[in-house]
Amino acid sequence: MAFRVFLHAVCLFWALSIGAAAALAETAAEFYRGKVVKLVVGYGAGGGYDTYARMLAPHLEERLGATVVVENRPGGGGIVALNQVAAAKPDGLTVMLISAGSAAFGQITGAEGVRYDLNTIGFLGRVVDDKRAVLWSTRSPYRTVEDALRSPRPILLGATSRTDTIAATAAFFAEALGLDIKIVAGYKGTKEVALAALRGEVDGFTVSDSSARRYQKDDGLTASVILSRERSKLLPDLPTVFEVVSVTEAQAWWIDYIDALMSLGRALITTPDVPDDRLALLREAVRDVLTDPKVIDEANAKRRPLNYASADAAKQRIDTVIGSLSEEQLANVRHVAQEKY
Amino acid sequence: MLDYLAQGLALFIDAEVLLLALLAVVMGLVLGVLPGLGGLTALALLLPFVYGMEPMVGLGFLLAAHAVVYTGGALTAVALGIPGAAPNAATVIDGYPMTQAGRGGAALGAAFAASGLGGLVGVAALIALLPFLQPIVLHVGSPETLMFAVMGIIYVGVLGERSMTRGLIAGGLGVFLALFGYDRIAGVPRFWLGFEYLLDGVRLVPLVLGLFAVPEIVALTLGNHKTTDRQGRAVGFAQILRGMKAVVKRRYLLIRSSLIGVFIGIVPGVGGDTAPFVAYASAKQTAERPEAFGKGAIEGVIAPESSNNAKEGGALVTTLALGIPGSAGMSVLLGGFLLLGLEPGPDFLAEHMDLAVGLALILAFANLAAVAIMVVASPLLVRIADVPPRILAPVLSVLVVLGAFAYQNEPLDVVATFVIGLLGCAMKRLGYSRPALVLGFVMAPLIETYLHISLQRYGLEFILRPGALLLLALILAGLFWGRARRYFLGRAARNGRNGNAQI
Repeated sequence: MAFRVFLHAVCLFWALSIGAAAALAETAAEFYRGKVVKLVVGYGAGGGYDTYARMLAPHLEERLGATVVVENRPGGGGIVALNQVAAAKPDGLTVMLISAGSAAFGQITGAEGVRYDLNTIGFLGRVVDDKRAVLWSTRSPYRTVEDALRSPRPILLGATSRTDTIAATAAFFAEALGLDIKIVAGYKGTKEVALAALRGEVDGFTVSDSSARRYQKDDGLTASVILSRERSKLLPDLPTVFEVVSVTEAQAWWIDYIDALMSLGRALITTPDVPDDRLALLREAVRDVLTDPKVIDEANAKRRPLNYASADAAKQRIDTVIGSLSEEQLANVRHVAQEKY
Repeated sequence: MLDYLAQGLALFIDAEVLLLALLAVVMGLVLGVLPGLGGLTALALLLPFVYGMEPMVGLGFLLAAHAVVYTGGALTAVALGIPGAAPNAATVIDGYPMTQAGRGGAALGAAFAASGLGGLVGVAALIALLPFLQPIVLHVGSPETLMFAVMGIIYVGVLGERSMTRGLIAGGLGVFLALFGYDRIAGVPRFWLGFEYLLDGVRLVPLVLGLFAVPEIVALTLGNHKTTDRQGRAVGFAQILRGMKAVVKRRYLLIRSSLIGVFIGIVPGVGGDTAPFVAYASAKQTAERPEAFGKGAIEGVIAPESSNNAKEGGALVTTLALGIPGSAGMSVLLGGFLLLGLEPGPDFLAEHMDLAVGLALILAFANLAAVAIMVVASPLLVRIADVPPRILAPVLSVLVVLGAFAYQNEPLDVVATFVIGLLGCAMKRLGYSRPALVLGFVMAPLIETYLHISLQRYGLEFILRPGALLLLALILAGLFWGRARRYFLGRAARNGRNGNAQI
């Protein structure tokens, strides 16, 4: 009896080692063929992230030879899903479209519930970048940055949550220009903030350039400046804040910080410690899809523009935003973003 | 406007549009009948299918499915005492006692007719309001939204099954349960105890399933389920017709409840789940015999059901005209628009008025088709109440587990459903109002958020804004109207001058 068990064990071991050897010999391309890759979205179906993911999935499918399934895991502003992806099995079969700016900001402020580390996560490439614009309500007495600087009362800027990048960029903007502002937080999304501005409940808000392009068609909102050194491609007529007012080096730091954070944009990532060959293949597929003129045309037609940046570039920006700051600077960023205004 | 109507009609009368809408109506009804699977689930399940369709076809498909879910949901609410969808919870209060008293057919007839006609009122309001919408929404600021929410929660007391105190305790418990998870303003998670699941707090679907479905299943398996005589359950067309006639007889109640639904649907932020409760409370306040409510008053079925379907018209108004979803379901529908390359917003109506009119017509069509289907099918469907408990209980359990899981593919939602189920059993046993808990749960985040915004923006003076003052007056009137009316009626009866007071 014991011998039979031993024999079975030997056979099993033998079978397993053959399997392992086969797995070793398998190339990454062979590995993905016929597999199911989960493309996780940390927000609900129908939103901007979901639309991007569903637009890219069939193209990634084509490049990888795998079935790509979009999975919505809304919750905690994307944090819950990112935690799960960061802790998933490192087999390269789970990828996620994240708001890298929000993710980085969550890590910087040490938001409760954050369990991922962007320094270890596998970046695949940036899908599109963001620039921040300032929008004023036409019901507000202030239409320009200069007006706002002369304001006798605190300027009211709308925001969603205090931990979100809308509130943070408003705070950094104020810090850079020495504006007297008050953040009115709690709105349910950018749309609700825009509505509050339309009815004059707040004086203005900061928002991504793609949203700004959409909103400024409304009669009640005017775009004022871009918070970057370069103009936005989407709003070429809108001046940068540097063109409108003169700022010192120390002030400019805050604007640059906003810009670095926002240029992280929406990025595709995968679990940490995915085998190198699979990571390389995923990166290649992402690059091919995002730089394919046909895909770019399709995206533009849907008004969901693409602006690819390589995984290395994305990683570098993460370092600029998180890694390169001293403890003191980080503490100051936290203070300005969450407490000062 | 007339040529827009003509263009909209042209879009609407199209074989593909109508056939798919009809298919969607059937799917919506089935999803409505299944407990826990609500309009939101219906939309989420169907959303992937519209990709690549023509705008009118795809949007009509989604809208038709979403609009009729509550018509289907009324069936289980009335026949089994389990709301098919969260907003049907208010229908349970009087619909189920009617079934137990052998008037199930009339309750169903009333529910279907009220749903269908309420939906039509919603469509009429949608078409009438489209041109004037923007100024209305621009005047409803955060203080006004706050007062709306307070108005909802004040009705908790009015809704109490046995006593106002128990109603308020249940409502308070709902508020407490709503506090779990990320707070929207500071972004700090509360009471999450280190469980990631709780970062998002208690979810509505497990809450509703746990509170309403689990106690029914437990009662079924324990054999405590109140059985009615066969005659009561045998639903004939005659009985259904009687119920439908009752709705037509109470047309003012129908129109008032529908308009409440439309109004609440329009206000962004105040969830559509509130509408049936407010309509119910309003019906109870103005009824001749409020004490009959909760024991099988047909008005208690008509009011919530008509407001349920009417609110979709209202919610669609804000969605189309401003791109701001008036309800959670509408936010998924908005996703459908974006998926099809359309962006609702102030300029949407200028460019696509024909589409808006076409969608309104689809809404009307779906409501009528749903009533027709339900009336024909319900004598068959209502037999589920005849199924012996040993079969019904396991089937319902499967549906509950399925519904809880399908909501967001989260196994923990199933666990949560049964944990909340314990609470539901206890509340049922001790006579605490479960609908009041749901209402408190739905209103709490609104009150917290908009109180915060109002105080930040206006300080305490927010209460002096004209809109807020008006709503405050309405809240006070709502609190005292019923009492004052009873007092005067009582005095008149004592003086022997009013013989109608008892009818």
